Formats: sequence, C-alpha cells, structure tokens
Amino acid sequence: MLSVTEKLYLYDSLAGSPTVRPDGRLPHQFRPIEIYTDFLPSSNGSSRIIASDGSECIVSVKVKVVDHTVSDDLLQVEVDIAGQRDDSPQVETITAFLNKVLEPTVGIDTSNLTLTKKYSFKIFIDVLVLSSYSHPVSLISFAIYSALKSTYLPKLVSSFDDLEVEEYPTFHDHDLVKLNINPPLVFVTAIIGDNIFMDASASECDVSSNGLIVTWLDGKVIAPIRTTILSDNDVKGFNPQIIPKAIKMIEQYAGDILQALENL
Amino acid sequence: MTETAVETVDVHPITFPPPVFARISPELSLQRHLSLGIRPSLRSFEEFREVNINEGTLSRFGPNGVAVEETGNNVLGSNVLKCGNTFVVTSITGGIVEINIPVDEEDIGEKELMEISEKRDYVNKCASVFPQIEVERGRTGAPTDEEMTISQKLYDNVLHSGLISKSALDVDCGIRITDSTGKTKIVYFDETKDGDMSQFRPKRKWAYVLYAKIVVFSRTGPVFDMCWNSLVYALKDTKLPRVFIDERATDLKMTVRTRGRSAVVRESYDILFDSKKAVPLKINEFQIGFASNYGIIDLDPEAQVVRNDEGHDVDEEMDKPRAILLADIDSEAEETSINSTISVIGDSSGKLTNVTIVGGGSKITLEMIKRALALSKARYDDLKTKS
Amino acid sequence: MNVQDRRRLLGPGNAKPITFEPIVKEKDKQEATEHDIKETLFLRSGLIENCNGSSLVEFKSQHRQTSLIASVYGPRAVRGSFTSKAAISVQIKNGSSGDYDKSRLKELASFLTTVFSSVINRSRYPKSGIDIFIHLTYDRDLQDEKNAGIAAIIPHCITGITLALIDAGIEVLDITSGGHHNGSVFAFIKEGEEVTGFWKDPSRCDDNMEESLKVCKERYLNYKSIMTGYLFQNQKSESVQEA
Repeated sequence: MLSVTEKLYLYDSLAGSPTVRPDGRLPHQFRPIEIYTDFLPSSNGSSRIIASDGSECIVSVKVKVVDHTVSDDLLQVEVDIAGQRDDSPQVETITAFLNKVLEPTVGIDTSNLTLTKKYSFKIFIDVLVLSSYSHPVSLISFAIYSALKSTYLPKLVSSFDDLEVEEYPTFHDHDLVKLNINPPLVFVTAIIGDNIFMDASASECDVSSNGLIVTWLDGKVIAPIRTTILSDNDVKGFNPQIIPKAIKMIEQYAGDILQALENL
Repeated sequence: MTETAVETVDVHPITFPPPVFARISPELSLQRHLSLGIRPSLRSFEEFREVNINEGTLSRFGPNGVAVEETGNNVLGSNVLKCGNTFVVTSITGGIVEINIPVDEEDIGEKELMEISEKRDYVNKCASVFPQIEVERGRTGAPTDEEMTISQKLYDNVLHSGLISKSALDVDCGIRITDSTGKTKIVYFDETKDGDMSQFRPKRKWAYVLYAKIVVFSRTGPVFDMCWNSLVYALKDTKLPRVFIDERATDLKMTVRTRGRSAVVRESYDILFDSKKAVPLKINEFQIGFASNYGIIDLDPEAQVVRNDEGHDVDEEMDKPRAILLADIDSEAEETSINSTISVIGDSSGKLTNVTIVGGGSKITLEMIKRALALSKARYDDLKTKS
Repeated sequence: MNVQDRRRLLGPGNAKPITFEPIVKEKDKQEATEHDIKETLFLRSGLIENCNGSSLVEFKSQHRQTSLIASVYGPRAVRGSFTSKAAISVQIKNGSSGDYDKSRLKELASFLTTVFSSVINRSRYPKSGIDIFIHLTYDRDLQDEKNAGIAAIIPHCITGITLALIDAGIEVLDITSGGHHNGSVFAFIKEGEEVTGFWKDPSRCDDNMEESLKVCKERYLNYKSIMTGYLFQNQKSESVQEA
C-alpha cells in the first residue's frame, strides 16, 4: 500500500514527460518472465509462467474428439483464480473475454483441428492463476500461447473421409503430431495521465486512471478490445487519442514479445 | 424563576409530513386515515386500483397466429399489467416433451381399467404452467420465500382450475416434404384434406410444456393477484407454434452409438418448430377467474381523529371496535398492519377457483366474506373488459 | 454438478425448449446508410417505487428495437471494513428473447461497472454500495447482424443507468452516454473530450477506428441532448406541480 504522497509522486513521474517508471523501464518494456512448458504428464500440453513480481499461472491443454457437425465450438477456456469464487465478476469476465479471443471469428485458424469430415479435436484450456498482483489476463494469454505451442496430439491413422463409412477416428499408439495453431496474444496497458504503459506493476496499476485490454494477432491489433479498471482508486476518463496511441505501441512491440515466446 | 420552569415543561406537538409519519408509525398512520373514512392511498375502503394491461407486445406471434417478428424471439404469449405503481411483465415460453405411449400389445383389460380411473381423476386431465417469479427489490441470489410461495400457488391454481386441459397441449405434428422438384413444403394434417397423407403421420406423441416468467417491478404491496391476473391474460394471448419433422425422419432409424456399450439402435426424430405459423392455445374460457384480495382491520378507538361536529358519535364507537373491509391491499402500512385477509379467485357467476381466508387479529364475519365475494364478482366484470 | 433446484418449479427435465431460427431476409446489407436511418429514443425516469432511482429506455431504429429498465438501489451501507469510496455493482438480467450467454452478460456488467466507476463521484459516498440492476425487457435485432450482438445495447444501458442515477440523486461527474458503430462502443463524458469506456467486438466489415470514434461521438452528443432535454422537461413539470 502506498501513502497518498507516494501515490502523487508516482503519478507525477509517470504522467509527466519524459516518463520515469519506478524500476527504470521504458513505457513498452516488460519485466522478465519465466516460462516452463510441457511439465504436466497427463495433459496434451501445459505451461507455467512466473512473472518477476511473483504472479504465477498454470495452463493445461487437453483434447477430445467431437463431432463438429453438432457444434463447431472447438476451443474452450476455463479460468480459475486462487482465492476467488468461480462466479466472481473478475473470473467470469476474464473467462468470457478469453473465450471471445479464441473464437474462430476473431482470427484464430482452427482448420488444423479438423480430423475427418465429421470429427474434430476440441481443445479444453484450463487456466489456474496461483497468484496475481496486477491484471492477470496478459500473463494468462502468454501461458495459453506457450501451452498451445507445446501441445502434441495423437496421430490419426484412419481415413480422412468418413462421411460414407460410419467410423470413429482411430489414432496411432505412440506417434504424436505437434499442434499448429496460432492463438492471439492479449496485452494490458495502463493509462496514466496521457501516457500508456505496458506490463504495469502493482504500484503503477494503483495510480492508473484506466486500463486497456487489447488483442493482437499477426502484427495487427484486432477485436476484442475493452477498457478495464486496474485498481479501484481514482478511476477517470481519458483522452480518446490515447487508444490509437496504445494500439500503435502494441503493434510496434508485440512482435518482439511473440519472438521471445517462440524462442522457448 | 418559576416562570422559566413552567416554560420548560411546555409540550410542543411534533408534526410530520404524511410520508414520514407513515414510515415512523405505519399502524397509527393507517388508523388515522381510516378514521377519516379514507385510506393512505386516498382510495375509499372498497375501491380497487385501476388496472391497465398491454397484451402481446413482447410475443412473437400476432393475434392471427402469424409471426409478426422475424427474429429469434421465442416468447409465445406475453402481458404487461400495471396496477397502481406496480407493474408485472409476464412472458410465456415453451418447450416440448415426448410422451411415452404404451406399447399396443398391452393387456386390454388393464388399459380399460386405467382409462376408467383416469376419467375420474379430474386433475389428471388438466395441465399447468411452470411459473418463475422475480420480484425486483435490488437483490441477487436464491429466490425469496415470497417468490417461491407465489410460483407454487400459481402452479397449483392453474392446474386445479382446469384452465388448460392436457389435450390442449398435445402436439399435432406436421411433416416437411421435399417434392421431386426439390421444393419443400410443410404439411399439417388438420389443414389438408388429402386423406392419403395420414399414413405419414408420425407414430410418436409430443406435448407442449409452458413456462411463465413473471417479473414484478416496483412492488408496493402483496403481488399475488397481479401475478395471477397477468398470467391469465398472458395465457389468453399464447400461441403455440406449429411443429413438424422432416419426412425423412418419419420412418428413418438412426444408429446412436454409445461408447463402451453394445450398439443401441434408437429412432431419432429431429423435431422442428415452424417459425411463421402458430395456433392459439385453447384455454377453457369458462374457467377463467380473476384474483382479488381483501383485508380486515379493526378500527382502534384510541387512534381516531376526533371531529368536533360529530363529537357525540365518539362515545358510541368507543364501546365496541368496528372492523372494516378493505379491498385491494397496497402500501407498506396496509400490508404490515392487516393480518386478516381474504383472497379470492373467481368469476362473475360466483364460480370460485380459490378462496383463501387467513384470520389473524381481526375477526372475519360471514358478512365480510359475503361482501368480499360480491366485490370479487364486480372486479371480475371490470377485469374481463380489459382484454 | 448435478444438484436439483428445489426452489423453483422447473418442469420436466427432458423438455426441449422451443426456439426459432431468425428468418433470414434476402436483402442487400446497407451498412453505409446507417446514419440516415431515423432513430427514436424514448426516456422515462422514476417509474419504480421501491428503489432509489429508476429509468426506462426504449430505442427504436430500423436495425434494432431495445427496451430496458434500469434501477438503482443505494447508496446503502455495506458491511465489513471501512471503504473510502462507494462500491459499484451492476447486474444485468435478461428478460428478453435475445439469447445472450450468461457469461457475456456478466462481462458486459463488469464493463459497465468500470464505466460508472469513473462517472459516479464515488468519494462522496464512503462505506456504501450502489447497486445497479438492468432488466432487458426486449431486444430485437431486425437485421441478421449477429456480430453486432451485445455491443449494440451498451449505449442504451449506459443511458439508462445515467438517468436512474440522476433520478436517485447520486452525484455524477457528467451525463455520460455512448455510441455504437460496427461493434465498437465508446462511452464519453465532457462533450466527448474524455472516454470513460471503450468496447470493441469483432465485426464483419473493415473498421476504421477514427471513423467509429467520430460516429460514436456524434451519437453520444445526440443521446446526451435527448437526455438533458428530458431532464429539463421533467424538472419543469415537477416545479409546475409543486407550484
């Protein structure tokens, strides 16, 4: 908890020009994160992400074969935040948002999940946020990205065309195929004065007047985008011109983050 | 010195504006009003609140059973009832269930016996709706006692009043036929005179299920009456959509395989709803009753406002407490102070669906009950003209 | 979880709900003419007795018909430790035929909470809670604009809540409202100088943010003038009654 004076000092140094962040980072700079993948033996893919402030999140990916003629909803996210009820507004909001992000209409290409003309893989993504000191959605999306990138699926051995023949797909006993899917990333930016900051720390969130959650895929910012409040203090409106500014910043630097995640 | 002492014991009467007084002492406020021959709402003792209704504004189907909307709206019947400051929004939605028909090879004697016993069982021939009540009072979570009681009461009363016969909810299923040119049309057996078609009639039976969602806004007093009346109006407005299945499904057998068990072969119909055509729900008009409620309260002689010109009356009234009948209880003061109530559902001919008499505090005399029944007949006549 | 709900009468469990597919009309989509279409906004406040403030918003255009009731309960005391600012909660109940997912409505509710966190002067009401309820009476999408969906009703929710807050006498920094354009919603205060909320859903047409911002601002100014007009008229009629 910061005192009123500390808050004012922090606000002035962040809202001013040039901006001074308490840890000396640039506005777009992230703190180091640690990611481990493929550590859950019973899942098809998994990842664990730890931010330098101690925020931690585990993602497990499981797959199931479904009849896609019945439902073409092939990705499903469930979020659990330690210490919060399943029906708490934050958990519900993050779950609804992430499901929206992973909807095929948004931009993710799910054609690689199709097995046969009738059956597809359905991916269940379970997210557990162990601890979080700022808005966790960005961290979750990084974890989902690396978990999906480390997901291996059983190899199909039966025929592709099963419309005529009533057949359930069969799989190879040992061989696995790497899942090739490109999920969008989600970034949270804090708005302080007329400035924007990526990966805001807890104290920076505390003095922020508003926040912006932005989805990014293939070098472009896409919908859904939402404003959100990062802390309960001093929530204020902001200049509309900040939104394009934030989008520009993300489009400029998100590629580097993607590269960092790819290089795992 | 003595003068100041006298001044300190000087008592100043405190006056409150009526709304504040009603809040502080609802009982006394009510009694004061009643002694003037008027109720806090400025109604007279046996005066009901005016009811305004708005039928079918939310429904999918117009009065002639043709869809007025081409959206996904699935409200089959609706009603907005406004009574005083309170308003009730009722929307009827539906579902469909398959009825298990006994296999033909059943023992005929037993079947006959079943039929005879079923004939006597009047309730078994009636159907009901499944109401869900929400009384808006700025809270979330599980339903309150009031909401649960009202929904159970509505369910029971619709069932026992015989308003809806079970047969009114039977589905007359049509079929969708694709002719040789590739055009599709939907055939309903009661619309076509072509006798040959009946061979296509599906062998299974379905029935409609009705759900009523009733939301009460701005609750100022007991709401059961309004919910019941609104539900009755909404049911009168209800249209049941026509149902059909594809001709390929009439005799098609589809295999449904369950993993781990041996294959189960089951007939599977994909039942579809006609988004344009509907038939009105047949309700037994002669069974319609409207609800009204009454409260009985003793006038407290000590709370009377003494009127100078009628001073001689006061002594007379002091001797025995006079009980009065109030129609259509409203406002917090009336609801909390009146414990003896009569609730009636009935029509103008005196046919009663439900009468509930709760005696608590004031004694309910036979004259009171007679008067309440007479008033409920008048109320029925008034409400009947609204739709 | 297979817990039976014993508090409500649910009917038979195997019932299949009656639903209808919207009838798709074959007509060319005229996205560009959206501005020209006449919209009507009907406002009323103070219609509900047992709450602190309430409002009714009915919106009609060629694309959409929406009616909602907003009610505000509060500021009322909250239990627990001292808070220096009022806690705001928004609940959205769907009474309409619109088949919105429950979790999407919750997401919308929490978005509205963020919008009103910056609009309500919360420091005026310490240790209290302001509970806002929205009842969607009906919401009809007259064109098959599935992806506009939930975003299109946000401006009306904001308008409704603002009126209900004013009716409840809760201090707001400014009259807020918003506009919707192609899946994007901007909520403004201070004549469009400040944004209090931004929501963007994927839409099928190529969107231009500057364009959306401009259109939404126009709509906000329009809605705001309707609201202030209504409030002035209301005040006048009240003062006439008092006199």
